[in-house]
Order: sequence, then structure tokens, then C-alpha cells
Amino acid sequence: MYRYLAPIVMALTMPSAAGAAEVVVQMEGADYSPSKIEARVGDVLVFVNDDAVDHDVFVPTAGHGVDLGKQVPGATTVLPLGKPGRFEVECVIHPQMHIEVLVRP
Amino acid sequence: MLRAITFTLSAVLLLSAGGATAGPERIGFPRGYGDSFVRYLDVDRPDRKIKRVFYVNAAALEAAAPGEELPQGTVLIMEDHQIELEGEEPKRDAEGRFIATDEITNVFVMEKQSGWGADYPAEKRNGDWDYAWFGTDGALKHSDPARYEGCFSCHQSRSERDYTFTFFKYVLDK
Repeated sequence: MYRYLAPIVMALTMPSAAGAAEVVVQMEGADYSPSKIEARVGDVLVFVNDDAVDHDVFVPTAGHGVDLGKQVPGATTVLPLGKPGRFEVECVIHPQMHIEVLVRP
Repeated sequence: MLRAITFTLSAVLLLSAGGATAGPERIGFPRGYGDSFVRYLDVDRPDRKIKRVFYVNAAALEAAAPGEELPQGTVLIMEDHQIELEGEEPKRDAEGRFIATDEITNVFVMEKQSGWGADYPAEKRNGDWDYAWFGTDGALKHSDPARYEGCFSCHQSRSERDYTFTFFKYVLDK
């Protein structure tokens, strides 16, 4: 499944100076885009609230749990990927928002 | 006659007691939970520079089945910990996770008991759950039910998971 998404993810992925990549996630229409991400340890997910309402990035998966807090329209938050594994990203406010993330070593 | 009056008075007292205890005061502080409960999740909270540690009572963990409503008697705890800092920034472990200190600032409890939800109007009700916010000494930080409106409204978004953000999901995933 992930190989079909690779071009999409790569298009939204920007290498950083240290060789790690930034994967930009948009939120327009209360919908995460992309909805599947494959990355590596050291990469960073960058959540851009390009929507008209507040969001709250939340990872409920054991071993990866994070709550980035309320994110108003126009704001950006970051999630460094420090460990390999699979996890899911949700929004505290909008339960339909969902991303599957695979982090490779 | 006397029997009828006694029955009526008892019923009134029972109903009164049920109504009066709806809210945080009907949740007892789960003393000793650090030893008797199961820690099932940690959540880093960068915007507040804290780590949240989640516990569940062992009986509920054992009885919970994936995708099904959580058992009556389930008690979930969310404990706020201060974290180690390097200057103003959170210190992270080898996996990039925050490092909790022993300093606990809040203990939030949500408990599910049969019939509790009937005390709330349908538009507010979270199944049979109720909420309480304690300090580490076991005393309620707030007894005013109005302070818990945010708990009810926020958890409404997870009605499909028996009103829990984390534990229903944990049972699904494990």
C-alpha cells in the first residue's frame, strides 16, 4: 500500500540540512493530507493548519503517544520521529481525521 | 400504613442521594493506584511541557474486549507529570520521548458505573462515565460540576469508543 503513496509523500517531503526530511501535513476541510506516511527515524512531521477551524494533533498509539495541543488556523506544529514503528494520528476535536504513519529505522 | 410511609421515605432518600452525588464527589480517589493499577500509555504534551501517564484498574483491563463497550467499574487515571528540561526545552530520551519527573501536578479520574449516566441530560451524557480532578493528596481540586463541562463535551467526540480517547483504542491495538 505504502509504495503507491510514496510519490505523494515524496512530493510533500523536504530534506532538511541534517539529511532528515520534513513531511508536511495539511488539514484543510478537517481532513489530514496525506493520510498515509512512510518516514524514517529523525524525520519530522510538520502539521500546517490551513483550515478555518481549530485542530489538535493527537497520537493515541502506545509507545508513541503525543498531544500537540490546540492548533488555531494558520499555526504550525511539529512532531519529531524519534523511534521506529507504526502509529496513528488523530485530531482530538474531529474524530474522523486520521493518518497512518510507518517510521522505519 | 407505617410500612408504606417507610418505603416512600426510603425511596425519596435514595433518589436524593443519587441526585446529590452526581458529579466528581461520587468518585473516590483511587489510593495506591501506582501499585494496583496498570500503566498502559504515556502521552507527551509539548505545548504544556508535561508528560501524561495513563492507568487502568486491573479488573477492567482483564475484562475489556476489543471493540466492545468497556466494563462497568472501569477506572481510568490521567496523571500529569512535570518533565526534565534543558534550559526551557524538554529533555528527551534516546527515542525522543519526554522524561517525566516524580512531580505530579494533577490526577484526573474517569469512572464508569452502571446507572451514573442517567443523572445527566442526553445532550451531555457520556454513557455511564463521570469525572473528577484531584490533587496528589487525594483531595478534589474542584467540586463544582461546572468545572467538568469540558470533560463531557470533549469526550463526546469519542462516543464510538465508549467516550475514551485512549483506553478503548489501547484494547483494540493490544
